[in-house]
Amino acid sequence: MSRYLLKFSKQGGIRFISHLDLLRVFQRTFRRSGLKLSYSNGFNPHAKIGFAMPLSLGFESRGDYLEFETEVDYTPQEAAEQLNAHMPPGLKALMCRKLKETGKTAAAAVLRYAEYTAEYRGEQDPVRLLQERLEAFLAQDSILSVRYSKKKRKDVETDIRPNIHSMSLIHEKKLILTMMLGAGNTGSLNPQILMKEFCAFCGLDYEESDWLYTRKEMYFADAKGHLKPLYEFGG
Amino acid sequence: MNLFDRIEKLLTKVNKPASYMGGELYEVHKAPDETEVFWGFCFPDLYEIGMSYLGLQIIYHVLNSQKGVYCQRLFAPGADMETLMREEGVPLFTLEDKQPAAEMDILGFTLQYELSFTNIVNMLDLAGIPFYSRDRSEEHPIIAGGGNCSFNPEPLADIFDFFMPGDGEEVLVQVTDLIRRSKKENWSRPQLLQELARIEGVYVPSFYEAQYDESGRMTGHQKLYGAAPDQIVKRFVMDMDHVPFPLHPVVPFTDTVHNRTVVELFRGCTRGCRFCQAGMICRPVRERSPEQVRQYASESLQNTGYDEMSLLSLSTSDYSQIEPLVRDLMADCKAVKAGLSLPSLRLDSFSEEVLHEIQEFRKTGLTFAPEAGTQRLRDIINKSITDEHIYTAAEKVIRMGYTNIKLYFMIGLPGETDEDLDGIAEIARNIVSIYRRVSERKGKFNVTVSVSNFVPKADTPFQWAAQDSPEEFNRKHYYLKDRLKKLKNVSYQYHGTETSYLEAVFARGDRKVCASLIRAWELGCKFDGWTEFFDYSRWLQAFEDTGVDPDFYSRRARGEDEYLPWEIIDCGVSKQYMLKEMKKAMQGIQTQDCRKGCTGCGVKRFVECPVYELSANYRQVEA
Repeated sequence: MSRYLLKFSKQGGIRFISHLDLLRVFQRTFRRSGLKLSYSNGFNPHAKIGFAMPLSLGFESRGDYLEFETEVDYTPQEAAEQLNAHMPPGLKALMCRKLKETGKTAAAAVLRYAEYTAEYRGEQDPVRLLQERLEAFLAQDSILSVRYSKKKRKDVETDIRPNIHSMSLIHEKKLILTMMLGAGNTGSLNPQILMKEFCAFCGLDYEESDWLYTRKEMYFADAKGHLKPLYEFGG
Repeated sequence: MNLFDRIEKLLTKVNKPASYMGGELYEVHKAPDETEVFWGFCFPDLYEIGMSYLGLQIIYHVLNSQKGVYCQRLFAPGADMETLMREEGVPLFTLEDKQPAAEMDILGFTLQYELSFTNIVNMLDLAGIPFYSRDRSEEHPIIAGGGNCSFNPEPLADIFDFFMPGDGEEVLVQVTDLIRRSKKENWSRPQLLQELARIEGVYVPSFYEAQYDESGRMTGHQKLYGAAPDQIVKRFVMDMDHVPFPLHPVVPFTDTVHNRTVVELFRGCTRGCRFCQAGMICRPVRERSPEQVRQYASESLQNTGYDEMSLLSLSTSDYSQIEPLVRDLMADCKAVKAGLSLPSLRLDSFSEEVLHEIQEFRKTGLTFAPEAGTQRLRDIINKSITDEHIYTAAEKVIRMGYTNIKLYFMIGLPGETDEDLDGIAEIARNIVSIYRRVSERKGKFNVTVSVSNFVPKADTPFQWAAQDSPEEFNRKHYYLKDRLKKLKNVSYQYHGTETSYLEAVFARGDRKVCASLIRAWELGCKFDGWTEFFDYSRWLQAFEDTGVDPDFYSRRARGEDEYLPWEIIDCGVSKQYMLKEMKKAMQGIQTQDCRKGCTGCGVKRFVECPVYELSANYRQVEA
């Protein structure tokens, strides 16, 4: 039995498939590739694969992670190549490494931050306004975001500021905001919520279809507390 | 902004955006400069329905295998997407290249179900294409139809340029070749239609004028173009082992109705149930060899990565070599950790062996279709199963541990009385008693009685019959409900009666109902097969506005001598045979399964029927 951590990208039209659908897509890809996944015991055996973190519908990614376990031992290169040979359009295995067989700490459990970009695709020209207000936006002690909770059946207010690690703006050909946001068990923030608040702060209308979000990378903190790409996580 | 970007913007705002984005595994792409014929395959319902339809995958494969032919897919958008498309002026587009439908050379609709007809009109409207063929010219795509409903295409005759009843694999290639030529040689639309009409099995409705008598009954098709055929014979492909079959079907990213790979086991059915249109129009039976079924099953499981495979036919357990095939398939599937599902098993020919094989994998519920509650009525409809078959089968599966049995019945069949309804309740009661008697387990057991409403269909021996009124259907449903609610472990499901009434109007409609169809669409009707969209009052309004009496089509028994609007198409089975069958029905006389000897249905006028042996279990049941 071998455990692997796979870094993959999800780009193009396939960004419109949901987390659950993506899981099925991977299951089929594994079946086509001939890589022998381990299955759980029981009446309805399921393949041992899992994502480090779900990706919102409509997001692209260049840094998503999948953990899987196989019955047969493959080299990580072999596994990645086999998967790439059978991936549907838009999915690509970028790197693969073996995890420790023992210990079994899941990548999802150590995840601390995720880095995103939000690319503006609308027809307005909000660059200057966003640029001018960014510093003041981040200087706030708290940023309250109101969202309807299905569980509580009412609007709830949360402070999203603690989950913003950093945020910056680049404007060359395109207007792109880069954000490092809390992710995983210790608290996470969806960049859409952040952008909604930021636009409101700037007095701009936020139109979801104007923004293309991409997850760039995920991070964990090593023993010394340094942030490292999840790829370096050993399991 | 180009169309692709405009569509992408809409996708962030809709449910199930994956239904519109294309890009799935094995989607075909061809360069525009290498494409001579742009084909749009149109499925007049949602993506998730269409992508589970094997016919789509077959046609997609057949057409895209042709050099210079690029077939792309189009589906009816969901209501939320449609609203946005209309707001933003986005036309109906192909999934592959996001090309406007209007830019295709040909749009081919699959006609599966009468209640999807308003979606056809809606799709043409979204495409910006005039509905009536007479309003279109060379600058518009040619509009074609095939599938079950093309056996009575008259309600759509004013919309479509031509129809292709029967097997599509060969005629589609011929039609496409002709379109290629017509483009090269700049033919006019009338010239193209004239050439199309020369292809065997192609019906060009505008070459015929419908004739009516003063009571509004149709009296014939008057030819307007001399060289058009007097009658169009449906197309047959005979050798299933040599017809093209998609081993790399498009694999959707999202959940569809069936997430599995499918191999077609055989076409046609020899049973001869008198209500069943498919059983008549798909004759003769043509089996795929077991070797090929096995090979295709393995290959397509490997190619797609699905974890389930299924066999498709009208009556799986009638396949001549079903037992050895299922045994082999089961082993093949198990080796790759895939499941095998066998739909369309018959009560009298399924074998325990087959069931044992399946149940090792998954013990789900079983569905049987006795269709009618008494022997007398089953004789009338020629459903050749007996009470004994039903109870023996039920006992077998109960002993095997099945705890859910679903029974399909039809009500409103010709010759039905309330005693037949009592018979349905009786069967359910008896099956529960069998369970109490033989099952060692105590616990959940359920018999579901699922009842649909009889819709008389063209090209069946019951094509002359009147349908019950919606009120009568409702009375029968309440009658049954009342009887079934007294039974423990029995649940009851039934279909809406108003949709069945509408289905009957179009199943046997003539050209006059087309105006009602378009009026209904104008009044907002679409997705009529979906309960949440169906609006009966709008349909009644549409009939009234267009001066059409729906009862004339659904509730009127046709005279034996009456000209039937669908007679322009010869479905293979002769009218004389259907008439003979109708008379035998009225006398309660059965007709044998033609595997046991030819019953003279008329198919032999056109093709040689292949002969197959009865499966081992079938022989046993007979003995």
